[in-house]
Amino acid sequence: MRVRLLKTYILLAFAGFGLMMHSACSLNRIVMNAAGGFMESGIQSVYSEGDLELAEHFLASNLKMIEILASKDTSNTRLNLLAAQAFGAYAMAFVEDENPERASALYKRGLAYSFRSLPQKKRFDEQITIDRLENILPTFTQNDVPALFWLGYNWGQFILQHLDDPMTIVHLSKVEMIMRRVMELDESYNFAGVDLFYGCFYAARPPFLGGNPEKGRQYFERNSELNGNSFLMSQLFLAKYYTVQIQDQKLFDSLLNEIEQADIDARPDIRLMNALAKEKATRLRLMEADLFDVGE
Amino acid sequence: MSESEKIMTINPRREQFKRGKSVFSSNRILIGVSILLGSFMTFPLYSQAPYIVKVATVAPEGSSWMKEFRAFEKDLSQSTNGQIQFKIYPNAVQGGEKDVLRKMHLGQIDVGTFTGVGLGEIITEVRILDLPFLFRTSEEVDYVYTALFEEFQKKFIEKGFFLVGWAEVGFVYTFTKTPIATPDDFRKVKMWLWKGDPLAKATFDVMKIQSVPLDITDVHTSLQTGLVDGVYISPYGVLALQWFTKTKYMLNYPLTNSVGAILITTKKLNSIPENLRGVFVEKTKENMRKIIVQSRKDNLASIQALHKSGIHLTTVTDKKTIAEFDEIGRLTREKLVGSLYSQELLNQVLALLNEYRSKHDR
Repeated sequence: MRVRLLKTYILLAFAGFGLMMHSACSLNRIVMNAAGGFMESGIQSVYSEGDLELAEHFLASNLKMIEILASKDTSNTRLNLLAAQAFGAYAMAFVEDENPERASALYKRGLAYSFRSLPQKKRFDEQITIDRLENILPTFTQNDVPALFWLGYNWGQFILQHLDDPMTIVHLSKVEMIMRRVMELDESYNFAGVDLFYGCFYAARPPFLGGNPEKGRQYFERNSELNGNSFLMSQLFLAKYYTVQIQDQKLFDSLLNEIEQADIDARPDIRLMNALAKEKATRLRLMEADLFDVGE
Repeated sequence: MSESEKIMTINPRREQFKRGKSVFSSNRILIGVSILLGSFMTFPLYSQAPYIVKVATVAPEGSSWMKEFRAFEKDLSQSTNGQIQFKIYPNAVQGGEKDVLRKMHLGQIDVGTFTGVGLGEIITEVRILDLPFLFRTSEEVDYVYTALFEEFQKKFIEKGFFLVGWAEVGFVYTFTKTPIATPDDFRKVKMWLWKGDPLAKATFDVMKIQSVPLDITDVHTSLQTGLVDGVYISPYGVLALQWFTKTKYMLNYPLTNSVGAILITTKKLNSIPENLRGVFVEKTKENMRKIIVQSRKDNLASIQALHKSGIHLTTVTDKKTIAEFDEIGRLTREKLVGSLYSQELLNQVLALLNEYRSKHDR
């Protein structure tokens, strides 16, 4: 009898512990989802921030928190997508120009989260073959656009930091395939970022290396059009890649002047991106003598 | 020369010969001397560097080649106390090789990096170094290139250019949609022919290959549409251009070794004071060797990356096939005597090769 009671007690104790753990897991999940949701709104609200220093501090101080949340629930595609977006955006906005090596490491982390943000059943990694990628991409739908976009973005940016590494550049065509699918599904996603991708893809290379500067220009112009002709990143990228490739210094100056004179409060919803474009335009202007002028 | 400075070598065709089968830098230097707390500290103060050397290259910023060249730029500037500085135009923003050559003639560009195609526009003889099935290993390439350097340098000087150093592209391989392992297999594919390249045309004519002359800009699309189903390029090149995504096979037996070099106009070189000129030439040579080392590493790593990405590497395994490729090489080099180079130069190259092989081949 005592033995039976002891057994029952042990069973109940395990059941209670299990229930407690289950509740704790559920609670954790609820807390993480709530925190994730908070972070998501934070990332969205930071787009309207015109104070670059404030935006940088916000992102920097929250990257680790986002990472902790994502690592606690590796199957949570939403949290992983948030981490992918946060690392990629922070690296491009505040690190890349001054510290490319650090940016590279951040893109790499963003890339790892990007792969985990893919829907479980369609998940793949960087070793996927081109044939397999060709087959699986059509199964991605409009709901998958954010995951695909940030995957292509982080992967592409990482490759750009490693053009000296054959093991890395071998994946470039996969990035293009992913971005092509984004273009098919939702060109407008993230300020039509896919148009900026294709603009750089074609304008940053000379024709004999697979580039097509005019085609690149058309993508930059399309990006500008889709953003109500007030997204300064379009002009910035056009100046940085297209005008340099075709050596049109006059257009370069004109575009940078437009950016410098633009009012970032004209579009409060994209104040951050436009403030960034202004800062990057100032940096680009300092490089002008190195980028142009072949006269004696 | 230290071990680490030695040119790294690739021996793509060595294995088969062992085994009897084929696999494959003030207007003056102003030195400010400061006495600070009893110690000497020297500060080199420079006014704007008077000798700006404008360099045009097709290599993109961030590429391995450009990273090495940026290191060279820094080394040259430090070695000349900032008196010689580069202004580099990467990513072919000054155009292709022919455009750069024209700009060098006009004095708009001082230094250019060229492949055999561009070099051949100045002196056709240099194409002899691009001949198919000529070199078996990187050591042979280094031996012949070194032996012929001064002779070619004189020829370039006569044309207004100073050959500062070789900068090879490296061994060139064939990438196709169907596997090829013999000269007969080549005849089954529609090979891309770099439009206007007499050497490639002669080679394919000898091989009786149906080739399609195209500008390099049209190759990717032509692989997609099926206009061509075979290309020849260095492993790093096929990755950079992403052509490998439209091919499935790589013949791991080099078609040729592609020559490359860095030239400065003699006008610009002569405008640099003699003491600095010497430093410039030596530093360029030294850094070009480093670039060659890196290039060879990149090509090896590219073959690994290609293999890992699913490209099938086809090997040549029998003496008969190797003999057939060697015969194509012989017929091609004889066919081009008189049009690209003299019999005398060909004999010289072959003698150098024999000399090297008799000393080194076991």
